[in-house]
Amino acid sequence: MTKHDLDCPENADRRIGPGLLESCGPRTGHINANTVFQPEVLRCLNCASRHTFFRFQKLSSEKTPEVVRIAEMTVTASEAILSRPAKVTDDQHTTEAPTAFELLRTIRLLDELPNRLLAKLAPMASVECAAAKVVLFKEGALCDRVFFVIDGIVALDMYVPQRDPTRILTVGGGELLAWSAVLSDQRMTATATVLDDARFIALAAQPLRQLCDADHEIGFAFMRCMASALSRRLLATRLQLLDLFAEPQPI
Amino acid sequence: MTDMERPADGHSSAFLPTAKLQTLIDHLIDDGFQVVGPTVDQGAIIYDEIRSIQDLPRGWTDRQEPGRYRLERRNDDACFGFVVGPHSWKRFLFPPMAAVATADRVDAAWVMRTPTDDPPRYAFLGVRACELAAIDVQDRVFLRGPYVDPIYKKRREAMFIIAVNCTQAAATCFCTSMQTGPRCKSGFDLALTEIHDGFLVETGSEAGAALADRLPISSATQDQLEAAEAARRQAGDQITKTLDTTDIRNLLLGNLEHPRWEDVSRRCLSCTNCTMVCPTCFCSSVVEVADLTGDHVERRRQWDSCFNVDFSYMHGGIVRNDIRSRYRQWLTHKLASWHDQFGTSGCVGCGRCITWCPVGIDLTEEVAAIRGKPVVEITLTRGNTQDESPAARDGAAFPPEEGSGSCEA
Amino acid sequence: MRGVTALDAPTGCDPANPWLAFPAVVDDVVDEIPGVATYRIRIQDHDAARRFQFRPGQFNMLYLPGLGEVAISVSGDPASPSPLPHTIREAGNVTQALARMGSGATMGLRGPFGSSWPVHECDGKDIVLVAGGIGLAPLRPVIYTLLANRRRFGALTLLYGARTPDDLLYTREVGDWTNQGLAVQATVDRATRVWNGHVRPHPGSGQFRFLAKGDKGAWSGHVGVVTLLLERLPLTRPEKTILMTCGPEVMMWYTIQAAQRRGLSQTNLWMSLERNMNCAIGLCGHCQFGPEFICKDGPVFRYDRIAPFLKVKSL
Repeated sequence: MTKHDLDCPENADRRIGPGLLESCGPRTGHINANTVFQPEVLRCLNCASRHTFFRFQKLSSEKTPEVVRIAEMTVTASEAILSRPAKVTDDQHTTEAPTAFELLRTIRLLDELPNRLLAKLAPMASVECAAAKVVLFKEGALCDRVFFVIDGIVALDMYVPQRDPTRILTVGGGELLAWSAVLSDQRMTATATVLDDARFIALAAQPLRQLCDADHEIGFAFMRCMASALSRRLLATRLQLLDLFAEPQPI
Repeated sequence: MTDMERPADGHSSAFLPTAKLQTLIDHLIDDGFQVVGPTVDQGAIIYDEIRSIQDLPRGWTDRQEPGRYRLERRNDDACFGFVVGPHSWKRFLFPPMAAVATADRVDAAWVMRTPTDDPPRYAFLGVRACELAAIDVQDRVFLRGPYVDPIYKKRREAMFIIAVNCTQAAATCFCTSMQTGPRCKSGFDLALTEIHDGFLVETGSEAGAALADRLPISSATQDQLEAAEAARRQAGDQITKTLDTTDIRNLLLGNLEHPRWEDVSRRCLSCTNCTMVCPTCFCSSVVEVADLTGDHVERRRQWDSCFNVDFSYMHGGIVRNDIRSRYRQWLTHKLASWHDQFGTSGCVGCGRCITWCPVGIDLTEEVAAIRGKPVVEITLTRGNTQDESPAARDGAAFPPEEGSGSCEA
Repeated sequence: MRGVTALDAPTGCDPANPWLAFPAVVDDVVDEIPGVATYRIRIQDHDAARRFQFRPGQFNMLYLPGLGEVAISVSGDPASPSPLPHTIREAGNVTQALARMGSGATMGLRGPFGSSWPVHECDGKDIVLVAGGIGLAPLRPVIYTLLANRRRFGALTLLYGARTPDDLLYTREVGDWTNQGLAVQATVDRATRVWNGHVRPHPGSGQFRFLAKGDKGAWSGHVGVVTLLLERLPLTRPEKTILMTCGPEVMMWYTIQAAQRRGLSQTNLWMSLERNMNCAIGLCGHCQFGPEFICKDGPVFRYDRIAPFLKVKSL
């Protein structure tokens, strides 16, 4: 299955060999039009808990998968992979995996975008997966992508000196992360840690901003979706602030 | 038991001379009733036990205005030449204090009992048309809901009513607007209309007819009938106050943020007078009254009022924490919600709340102000409105739209 | 338009003499979360206890002579109404005295009162229950009733929000509920370290996402208000989904708004309100909310019936 051995994240002195990985099936096709890598979820049979590894396979012209590497998914890893796009023609594109457009269409906060406008976002969209405990971005760090969660759970924590990191919110399917990348100065206002294995659609901030500046129709529609998402986030934050359960509550 | 369904027997009226009214009272007492009627006390005409027509406020009348009540001497000897005072008949049917249950500790367990309730059988002498309507309203509350109040029921079923048709009106009366008077139409055993030397007597039930048979009545003459008719008409003619009840339920419940509530709250003292004198108000509280040992507890229901600050207290806070919301509660309940709850208005137009309000708030004026300047109009004329309340100047909050989404930032 | 009224309820206090309480005794007390316990109360007269039936959402007036009465929802299974569980937070005189007296306390009980959750409308539908804090207590009878006949209903989901992980009720039972076909999600306003209080999450409460790692428990579940769970919840048939919610009024309001945005019909949204309760029989006037008497027209209301009044301040 693999030419590489991996460390088991649970037990650092265990090496996981090929016989100890079990495929849980492909999560999604990697559908950036320029890359052909296909992540697949594998399970370590050594541990009671599940760990997610991603097998990246380059689809050659003969369509036999050649394993390039297996790595526990990190942002850096995906960047490393994504930064080496390869050309693909249509007949090499896997038909089983959902397209960027189809996955974008499942994001509820983009519901108001008509299909032809959504299609303009598809080229700058990439699908990413992250296992539990992966840190997507850190508070205060720069991030150049905005994420829409397809499924899974991501926790947002903020750090106050002399306190434990405070978990302020968990974000799930259909919701927005790293909005500062496109709305503000790209500095993240919280640290995002994956709780449940998650899939995202990431939109690169720079091309997205350029698109919105150049094409005001998509720009306005997209910003309206962002504003709507943020207004709902604001309301949720206010409800948390109200501390509704603090006083004696009616039954 | 009064038969509420039988209409007044307007045709064959009988005549009873004034002096023979005593016979009526005597028969009732002999039959085991406690006769309750109007009498003068502490400068007002109230309802109390009477035994003689001399106990009645003969020759007295009342002058009523918003916030003012005075007795004055009449130039005749009329027995019922006045309108309504601070008492209503609810103080007998729905007593201000009553034990509803008891609990006694017996061997570390509690034994709950219903206390013996042995009220007198009341005969009400002098019930006005508006008061008949008020009794019917309270019947709906206490007898015709999913739960029946046994205390009210016991008194109500034993009651005998001698109604009196009003022959004059106070400045605060508006029964015509509420369609409750001034004519007594049903809900009584006997009805009297006073003329200069006696009473025209109508029967309204079999019990009333049976009692009338025992009275020294004669057939009324044409003159007597006409005098009675004129006297009754005078009552209607003297009414000056009106309340426009057109669609009043929607008017009030659709204007819950009207600036007028703020306006009236600056005058209202939240003193609860209006609810005490109102013949239909029924708010109460049950309190625990224990003896010194703590082993014998009485659950006592006593009159309460939505104007009391803690009436709406709920662990942690008071829901209606300002006079504005409490006045609004009272008025919208009385004139609007009552329709939803009991199928009738809660107001019978007796005017007591206007007379006995220490600052003279007149609910007919409050309604007129809301009706005359509904909220939409206020929006358009903001800045030009005659209404000086800050809410109107700054833009009143308007009734919420149905199904509105999240609040704006 | 509203849940079943007490008039239709088979038994309980006598409509002709509604002031009289049944003597009752507290059989046992189970601590739930800090400040909250479930009291199982038994009517002492066997015949009366046997006849007593309640519907989900109804409440009893619990009476401590000398102190007063308090309105408490029945939080047990309508199919086994004796003894009657009541989950009670210590708040005022009566509830504090009850907490001090504990098991064996004798008292009076009047009830059941009020309208009930529309379980009779749920056949073939998807049901979403949204509870906040102690608001799960009046919904628990619904859970029991639906799970007892699981096959009659579509998807069953409970979305539950509390202040902290320590404040989640009924953690013992969540495992059973999940096994019987109720999907449970929990969220907290603040993910303070678990096990600060005296309550420990139970093994079966894994669905509540407590992480049991040594003594340093942590919360690995959702953080944020419960309306977010509703916004994320996949709904396959929103038009055939019934939502019942109980908790702080503000929470219920925004839950209902979120439900409407998700396509649920206004006639399928139900909530439970509260006001000062004194007589519980519609005669004292205390519990009025606009034209509604919470004690007899409610406490369970269909949203469209009371929508115009919910956002009126100090009504």
